[in-house]
Amino acid sequence: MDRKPTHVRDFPFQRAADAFVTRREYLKLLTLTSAGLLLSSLGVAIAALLRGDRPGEAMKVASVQDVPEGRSLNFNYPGEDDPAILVRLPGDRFVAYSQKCTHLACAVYYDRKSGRLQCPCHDGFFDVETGLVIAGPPPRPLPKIELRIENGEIHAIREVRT
Amino acid sequence: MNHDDDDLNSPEHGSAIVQAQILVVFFAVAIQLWLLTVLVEQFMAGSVGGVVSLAIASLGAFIIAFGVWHAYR
Repeated sequence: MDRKPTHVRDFPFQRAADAFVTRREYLKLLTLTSAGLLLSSLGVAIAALLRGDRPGEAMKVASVQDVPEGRSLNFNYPGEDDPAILVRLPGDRFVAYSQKCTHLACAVYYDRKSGRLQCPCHDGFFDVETGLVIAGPPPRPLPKIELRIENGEIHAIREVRT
Repeated sequence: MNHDDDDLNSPEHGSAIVQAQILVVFFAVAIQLWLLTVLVEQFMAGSVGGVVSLAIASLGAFIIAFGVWHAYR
């Protein structure tokens, strides 16, 4: 009669046939992991340096009359693949931010009712006046785009990341 | 106590040394993981400041790990 426990009968384990990792092999694996992490760190650092700070160049966004009070306008800045949002606040004040949520880069939009910038993906909320995070998972404020208004035209000057 | 007990290649000493090597390299890897996390955070934030020093710190941790592993292979 087989007196082995059920779990041993169901999952037989042949210790002699198993391949053990020795401590020296484990140490070698850890050292290789260290090398991999170094390469990853160097890669990220080089990518960050190559990208650098991209303040952007001055660019016309829209005319003042194109954006009624309490409305927003989407545009691309500093690059053609960088979505941004321009909002006209009460009192003829304009603010602009990168439209990429700092959580997972979903596009934020301006919610007129709440007066906040909202990310629809994970309910992240930003203060439209400052770009600071009000609620939700975003870890950083939205990058702000500095504006200059001349002769009724709105120009984006540069992007400021905080 | 005979002279052979002081031999670093004896099984007793060898075992302790490997154990200590694993401990040191493990800490180096843990620090590198943290450094990589900070680097990615900097990259995502679009910040360049500090990435070079973080990468150098990771290099330092790797040199320590490699040195410890290589010393008593």
